[in-house]
Order: sequence, then structure tokens, then C-alpha cells
Amino acid sequence: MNNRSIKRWVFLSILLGVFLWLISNTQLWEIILSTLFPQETRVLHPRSLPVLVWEHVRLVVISSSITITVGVPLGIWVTRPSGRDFLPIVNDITSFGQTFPPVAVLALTVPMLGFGFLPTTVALFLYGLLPIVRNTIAGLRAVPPDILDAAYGLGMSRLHVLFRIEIPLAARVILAGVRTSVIINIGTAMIGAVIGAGGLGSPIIAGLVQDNIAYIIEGAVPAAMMAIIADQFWANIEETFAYSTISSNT
Amino acid sequence: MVTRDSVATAGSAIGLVSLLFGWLTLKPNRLAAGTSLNLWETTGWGGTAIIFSLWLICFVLSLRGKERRPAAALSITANLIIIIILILAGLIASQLRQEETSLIRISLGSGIWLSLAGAYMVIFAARQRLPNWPVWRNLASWTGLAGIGVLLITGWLNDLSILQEFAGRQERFVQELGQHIILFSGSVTAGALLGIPLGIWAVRSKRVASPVFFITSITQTMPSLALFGLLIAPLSALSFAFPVLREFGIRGVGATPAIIAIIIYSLLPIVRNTFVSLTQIDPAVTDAGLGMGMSRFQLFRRVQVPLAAPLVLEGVRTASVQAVGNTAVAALIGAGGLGWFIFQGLGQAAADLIILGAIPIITLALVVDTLMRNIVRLSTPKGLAGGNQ
Repeated sequence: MNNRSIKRWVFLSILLGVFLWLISNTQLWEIILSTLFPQETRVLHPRSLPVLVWEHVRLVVISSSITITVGVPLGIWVTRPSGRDFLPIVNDITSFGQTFPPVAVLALTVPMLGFGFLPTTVALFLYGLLPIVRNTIAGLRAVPPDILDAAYGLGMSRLHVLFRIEIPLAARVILAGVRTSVIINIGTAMIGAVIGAGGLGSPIIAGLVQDNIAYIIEGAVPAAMMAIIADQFWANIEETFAYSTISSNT
Repeated sequence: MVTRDSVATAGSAIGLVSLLFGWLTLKPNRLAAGTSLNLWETTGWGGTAIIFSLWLICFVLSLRGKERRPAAALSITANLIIIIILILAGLIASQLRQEETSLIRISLGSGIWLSLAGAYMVIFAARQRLPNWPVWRNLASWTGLAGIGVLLITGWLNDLSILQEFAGRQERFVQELGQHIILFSGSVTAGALLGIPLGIWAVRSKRVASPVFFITSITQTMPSLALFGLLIAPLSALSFAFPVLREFGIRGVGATPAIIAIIIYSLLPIVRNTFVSLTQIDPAVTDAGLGMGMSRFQLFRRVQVPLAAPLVLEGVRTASVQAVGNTAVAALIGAGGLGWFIFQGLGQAAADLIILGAIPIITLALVVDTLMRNIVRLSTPKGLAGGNQ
């Protein structure tokens, strides 16, 4: 790790610390929101902020982990000889699938799977797959063929080449896909509140229904912070990774 | 030599398996839970035999699917399957609705959706094997879709639940579709009018570039619902303080925060692409222009704009597709648009109403995407074609 990436990690930790401190200080929210909106009798959603954040994080972590464990191997498989036949169609599906608005995908799971946590997780998983599969394919295909030739020439086995050469060289692009996927998931999980998945969307929806702006802020501010933190986290991982590959190459 | 096309074989296998799943779903009314009917319970053994044998033909053909003739035959069969499945579904829906009360709803079951997915896979695979037969290739790509279009227009499918839901809300549908299009296209246009000059400015001055990219990339990561929420508070305070604004429709909820948020979301792709498109122009080209005696304005108008246009428009495309989706979310804050059907449907637990919102939104996104891709292609100067994207 060089200086620059250490600085970035320190900055991220501070941001995370501030976030955790903010969401655990419910009283602070109550004071600020009731000064801003004196006309409201209730300024905080009945379920406490840490619980809402926890629900949101759980939703995103579960769906994103499934997405990564399915998406990366799928992307690898279609670039191997055994799955190469499927490469064009997987490319086609991931490129037009990304045109689908996430809300529409979320909405369509309800007629199939009903309301609640499960359909939201399934929708987040399916939608999150697209950028990961796409970037895994793009990253692996961008590895220069002469490097692969050299590796095979050295007598490396296919598995060796995959794990020692291809994946490390493609890591940056794959991680960029993971980053996009996680950010989209955090945003789509907000709307999951409408279909009963809980999370930070709940106070916003409740605030819209009851015309209570304090609720809306209680949901929107932590959600925005959470997205920024997640984005920075993956950006840092990407950055740290990229530097280590370059330095190990030289 | 292996002539089996694995994608087509997998598609055919999915098609064969799909016959075991529920074919149509029957609900006593629009909100009740449905019972699912099997293929043979709906189409009788005759219909089942037809669909089964068509899928079997596909499966056998796919074993030689890498050759041209089997591929052409495959694409025809798969297109036929799509059309026949939907013709039968429409027919059975009408019969069932005549026998029973008109309140019952018939919707496509998971079997039909799986079959359609299988047909898509087969058609996609077969299409690729017909590169030098443009007529066949076009037939393969469009016959099924054209068939669906014809069935929809002639009213053959009118007894299916989604279309019944539509029939009751035709006026509202047209109105919300219009609202959706106006909201997203207006906001993206405003985003472009702001974003392109910002991008040009960022190229000229480093001091502008870094804060612009910092702010737009931060707002880009924010969930749309959160950004809407963050805009509602100041806007409602504003309209509370200056009631005049309300006469112009500026309120906390409604279209105003939606428009502002979508403009903000459009900025990043447009500014970034404008910036990249201008910085990537080869300095030798601008030198040549200056050497020919072009003025700065001429250089901009005749050299830089045409070279940068495709990438800038590519940014507008990304922004537009994203805006179609964000406009759907905006229905939650009372901005209207097709998302209204989704959220109404979710509120009433009415599956058909949800689908009536979701499918047109997806279609709109695909249409906008295709349209913009073609505009990008047309705007690409001949010398750049094939190179840029």
C-alpha cells in the first residue's frame, strides 16, 4: 500500500465512524428534526434508525454476496472453451438487461413471488448480476493474448493461468462491476420498502404517505451516506488492488 | 466436427421442460389468488401435441444447429412456437371467459414465460449462424415480435388479464405515458443543456473540472429515492416561504423534485462524455484546422463538434435510459408517469396493474435505448465509424 491509498482508507474509516456515530445517536436526530419541523408531533419513524440501517445493510449484503458468488464464476465460465457457445447470448442479455429499470424488475418479482424480503432479495440478485457478469467478461477478454501465450509456454496449467494471470489482471474491471452492482442494489433496496422489505426506504415512504418531511430526512440522509461509503469502499479496494498488480508486475 | 449448437439445445430443453409448468393462471377476480392450469388442461391434447412436437423438432434441429440450413429451420420453428403459444392462449382465454363470469382473469403462467425464454435463446443462437443470409436473419429476428404486435392490435389477446387491466384504464394509461415521456425527455434535455457547456468549461479549466466531477459522481451514487427525499425538504420550505411559487407548481412533492433530481442524475454521464470526447481529439487534427486558417469558432463548429458529437450523444443515451427508470420511481413522490401503475398495483396487491406499469416502462427504456443508439450511429462521421464505440 502506498501513501495515497492509506490516506483514502483513513478517510473512509473516518466517514464510516461519523456514519455509525450519527445513526446510533437517535436523540441527536430527534433534537435536530424537531427544531426543523416544530409542527410535527413525531419526527422519528416508529422503528429505530439503527434497526432500519441494519435491515438495509442485511438486504444489500445478502443479495450482493449471492450475486458475486454466482456472477463472477458465470462470467469466467462463458470465457472458457466449455461455455464459449454461451458468450454471445450472455453478452446480449446483460446489455439489454441493463436497460431495464431496476424498479420494473423489482415490481415484476411481486406477481411471481409475492411481497417481503425474499422477492426483494431475488430482484436485487438478478439485477445486480448484470454489471458483474459484464465486467468479468470484459476484464478477462482484455487480458493480452501474448501474456496468455507466454504463460502456457511456461507450462502453466489452465487453472494456474486463470488464477495467477487472468483473474489478477482482470481484477480491476471485475471490482468496478461489483462496485456498480452494490451501488445499484443499495438504491433499489430503498424501493424494496414499498414491497415490505423494510430498510431505509420505510421512513421515506411513511413520510410521503403521512406528509411528514422529518421522516423523509431520517431515511434519505443515512441512505445517501451509506451509498457514498459503499462506493468509496469499493473504489479503495479497486485502487489498492490496481497498485499491487502494477508493482508486482515491475 | 461438433455441429451441435449448445445455446439452441439449452433453449429447446428449457422449452420442453416448460410444458410441465403451469400454462395459464385462472383467478376468480383481479385480486384473488390464482389457480394454475397445465398445458393439457387448457389446450387439450391436440394443442399439447402441437407445441410438444414443435419443441421436439427444435431440439433435434439444434443438434445440427451450427449448419446453416438447420439453423434457418430452427429460427422458423421457434418463431412459430411463439406465435402459436400466444394464439392458443388468446383463444382459450376468450373461451374460458365466455363459459364463466366475465370477472375471471386469465394470465400467462410460468410455463409460457419459460417457453418464450427458450424460444428467445433458440432464435438468438440460430440468428448467429445466418450471417450471410440477411433475409433469413431479419425474418428470424422479427417474425415473432411482429406476430405479437399483430395479435395485440387485432385484439386477439384482449381476454388476457393485462389487456383487460389496460382496457379499463386506457385514458389514464395514455396520460401517464405522456407524462412519463415529458418528464424524462424534458429533464434529460435540460441536463444536456447544462451538462455540455459544463463539460466544455471543464476541459478549458482544471479548477472547474475537479469540483464538477466530484459533485456529480457523489450525486450519482445516491439512491434516487434518497435524492428525491433530500430535495423535498428544501423545496417545501421554499414554497412555504414564498407561496407565489406554488402557483407555478413548485411544491415539495410532485414533479419539481423529480425534474431536478433527474437533471442532476443526467449531468454525470453527459459532462463526463463531453469532457472525454473533447480531450481525446488528436491535437494534430486541431493543428491542421488552425493551419488551414480556420478561426477558433470555425474550428469548434467544423472540427471539434462533429468529432465529439457521437460520444456526447452516447452520454445522453446513458442519461436517458437511466432517466426512464428514475421517472418510474418519481411516481412515489407524486410526479405521475407509468410508475403510478406500479405503485398503485403494489398498494392494491393487484398483480395485473403492476405488470401494466412495469412492462411498458421496460419497453420504453428499450425503445429509447435503440433510438439513441441509432442517433449515435448516424452522428458518427464516416471516418470514425467503427472506431469510436
